[in-house]
Amino acid sequence: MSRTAWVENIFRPLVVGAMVACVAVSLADLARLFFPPWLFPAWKSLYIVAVCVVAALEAAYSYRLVRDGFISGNDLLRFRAIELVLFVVVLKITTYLGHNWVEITDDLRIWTRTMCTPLDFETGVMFFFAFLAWGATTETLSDLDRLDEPAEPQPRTPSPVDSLTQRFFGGGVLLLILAGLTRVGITAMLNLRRPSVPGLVFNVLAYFMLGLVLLGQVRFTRLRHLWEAQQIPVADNLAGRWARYSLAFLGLAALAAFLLPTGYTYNLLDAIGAALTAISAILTFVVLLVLWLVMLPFVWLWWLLMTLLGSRSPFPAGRLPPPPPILPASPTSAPPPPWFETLRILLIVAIVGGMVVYILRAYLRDHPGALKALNALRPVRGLRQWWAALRRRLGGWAEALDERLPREWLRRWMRRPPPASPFSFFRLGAQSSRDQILHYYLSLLRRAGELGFPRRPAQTPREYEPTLETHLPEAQAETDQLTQAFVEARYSRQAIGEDQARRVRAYWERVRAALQARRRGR
Amino acid sequence: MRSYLPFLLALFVIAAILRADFAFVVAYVFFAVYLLSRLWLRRVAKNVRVRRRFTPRAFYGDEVKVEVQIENAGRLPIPWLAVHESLSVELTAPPFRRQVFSLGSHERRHFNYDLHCRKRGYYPLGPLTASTGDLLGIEDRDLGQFAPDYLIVYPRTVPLERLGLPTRSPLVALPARSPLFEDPARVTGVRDYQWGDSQRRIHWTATASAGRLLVKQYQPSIARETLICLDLNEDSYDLRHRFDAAELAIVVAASVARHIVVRERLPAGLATEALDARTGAQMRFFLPPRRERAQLMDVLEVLARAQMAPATPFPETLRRESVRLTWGATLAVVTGRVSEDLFDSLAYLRRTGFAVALILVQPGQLSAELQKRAGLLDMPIHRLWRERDLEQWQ
Repeated sequence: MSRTAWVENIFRPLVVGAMVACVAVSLADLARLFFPPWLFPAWKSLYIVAVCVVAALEAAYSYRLVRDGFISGNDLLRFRAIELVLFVVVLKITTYLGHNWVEITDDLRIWTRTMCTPLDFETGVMFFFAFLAWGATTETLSDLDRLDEPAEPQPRTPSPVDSLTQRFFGGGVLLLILAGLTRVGITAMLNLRRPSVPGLVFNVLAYFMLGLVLLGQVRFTRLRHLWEAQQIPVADNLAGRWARYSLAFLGLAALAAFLLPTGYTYNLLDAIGAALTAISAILTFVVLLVLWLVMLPFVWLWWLLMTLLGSRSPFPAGRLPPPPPILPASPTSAPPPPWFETLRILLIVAIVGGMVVYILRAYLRDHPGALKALNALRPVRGLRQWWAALRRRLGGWAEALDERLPREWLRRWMRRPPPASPFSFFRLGAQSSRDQILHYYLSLLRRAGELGFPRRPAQTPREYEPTLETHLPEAQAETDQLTQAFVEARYSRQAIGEDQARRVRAYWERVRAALQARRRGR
Repeated sequence: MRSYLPFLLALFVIAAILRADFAFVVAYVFFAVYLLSRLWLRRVAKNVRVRRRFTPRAFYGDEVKVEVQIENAGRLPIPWLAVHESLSVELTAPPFRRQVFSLGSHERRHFNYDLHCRKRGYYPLGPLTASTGDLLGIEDRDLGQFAPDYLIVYPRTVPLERLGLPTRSPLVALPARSPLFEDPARVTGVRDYQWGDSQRRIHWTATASAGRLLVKQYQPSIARETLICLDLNEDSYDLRHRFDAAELAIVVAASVARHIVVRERLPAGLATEALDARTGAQMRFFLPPRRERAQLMDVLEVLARAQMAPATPFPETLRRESVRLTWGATLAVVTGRVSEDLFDSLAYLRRTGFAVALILVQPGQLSAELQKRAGLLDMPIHRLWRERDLEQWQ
């Protein structure tokens, strides 16, 4: 069997079947929650899983039959009808598993009286789950088959990769919610201060890992079809390496995830929850205070009116309505943690916070439209202006501080000979002017090499200069000056002054800006 | 994968609501996949090295084998790398080479292709563009362009007989009437030794035969250097045949240079103003006459890079470059049209002591008037237009 046939006929159906089984396990658990054993003693969760897996495998098989046999129209309807009847029969037989022969014959006798008896509640639920599994598998296999279709310039339907990804993610979210409902319970779901649920759920993890493996395979298939369409030769060992790298990569990611302690995340969530509670309490207090202040004149007028009319005041004479209640002090359940525990909490808070910030940053970088819209918001604009003003202010302070510093002493200190330790840091300011110029040019070479136009070993600076000027037309003059300064610094014996180094630094900064602009433009 | 990040955020929200370890582990797995994919690609992008191995200079008709070596200089493997090498259509068809492969840690991969040098020129091999991506489709990354290398294909050279040009004087080393200089390579006879003659001039064989001291008599000669002045101003060639005529003029210049340096073993130089294919700018080329083989390669290299351009008028170029020559040098002027200005310049050069030979690359016959005027100046004139011959030489 060829590799492609093995992937299409065995690997994909098995992976999809296993993923369906993972979802079915949580479905069965949830069903058990709704149909407790004391109410439905014949209910068997394992059967649900088995039926869903069989439905998925049958869907894969029938999909191949329909596809390879070009079955359509009335033939397809007949095929589906037979398939449906067979499946109901199998389901019914499945429900008889575990029953003794007398019970089965009694049930069969009842069939003669009413035709609806075979479709009892248990069979109906199992049929519904099996139908979902069958439909999801068929759709998934159909999308997998469409991977070799050329990409449309203006697609009317989602691409097969998008469709598969969305189904995988949607199924994952559903599975997480199902597993969460099963373990947490519906009533406790909204209580965010409840204790956390420990332990791992194997079927959930298996679903996501299998899904990632399938996504990797889908990615490879899609790319391979694209390369074949463009008649690009593909290395023979690419498929094998892809599989190995995918497994190693997912294993590494899973290992990293397992090493992260989830317990500390709850501290972060608790802290966020406490902060939100405190903010809401303060807001409530402020609103009540404002209301009290607004109502105070009216209440006084009402009291005055009542007094003048001789009626009994709702409030005792000379007493104002009570102020809003003072907020209860937040309960301090535990003594403050020791410094070590605090440090660990801060660390994990920093890690998780960094993760969220990284995700948001990456999302905004990938969606320039969203970033533009966010920047257009007035509060964000105000924040940016405030940040710019703060930076200007800090810069002014730094300059003032720089002027007041004993500059001679500072210069002497900066020019002191480098320490003998091999672990000392490189400081450009401590180098001689000649070395600084060499550093600027070598830095330019390094950056240009990273951008894809490196200096060839045999090229002299003058020979390399046209290459630089071709790629950086906006900084031609600076490139020329920088090259000239490097040649002088490297090959002449004349003294190089600080002024020259400063000038070269200015050229280098302009060239660096051009390189950065080019990097951003790539 | 557009929906990855929203899904990741949704995972974190669900995990926060569920307060369940397994949900957080799933969210961490997906975050780790995302983060590691990005970090991996970032590292990979910095560690791809490209190197080409080939002979950078080739003659017309050669086949050049190019080996492209792509190296992963980092420890992390590259899951897949698609490379696209752009080539000149004059060298190969199709004008590109593409490959997809993966590279392990510090692994190198080679691919080869052959180039057919069917036209002189200065050709870039590359740039090579590369792209890669992660294993799950989270991100594709364009690694940009890797700098091209350059191949020089020298113009073809043919024997002067086939071009219909004279192989000896008056193209090179013209004899002079005044014996200011003598050419030691051209012995015209012997005479009796006189006091003051250098011992180097003694003809020992003749002396032994005659029984008295005889010294060689040399042909008096002026400068033995030749400057080939090639006109690549596009206005100097007829619009209908401009490209072919200019290419033929370059072949003529290369052939004359080869003949002088290789056959005659005399100095030859080149002066022209043209578009330089290497820099993309219009340049004045002047190679002072020298006789070494390296000089011939320098001349051929310039002729390989030179392209027609709207340059300075050729007569002006002639006058400017002649200043650098020693008195009495020969100027072999290759052009496509003789204008009045050009003829005036040639007459001026002739009067100032240079020997001038005019090679016209143009169809049709030379006019009688032109031949008469050239004869008055004692200036040999040759016409060339042999496209069919050139085709046969291929």
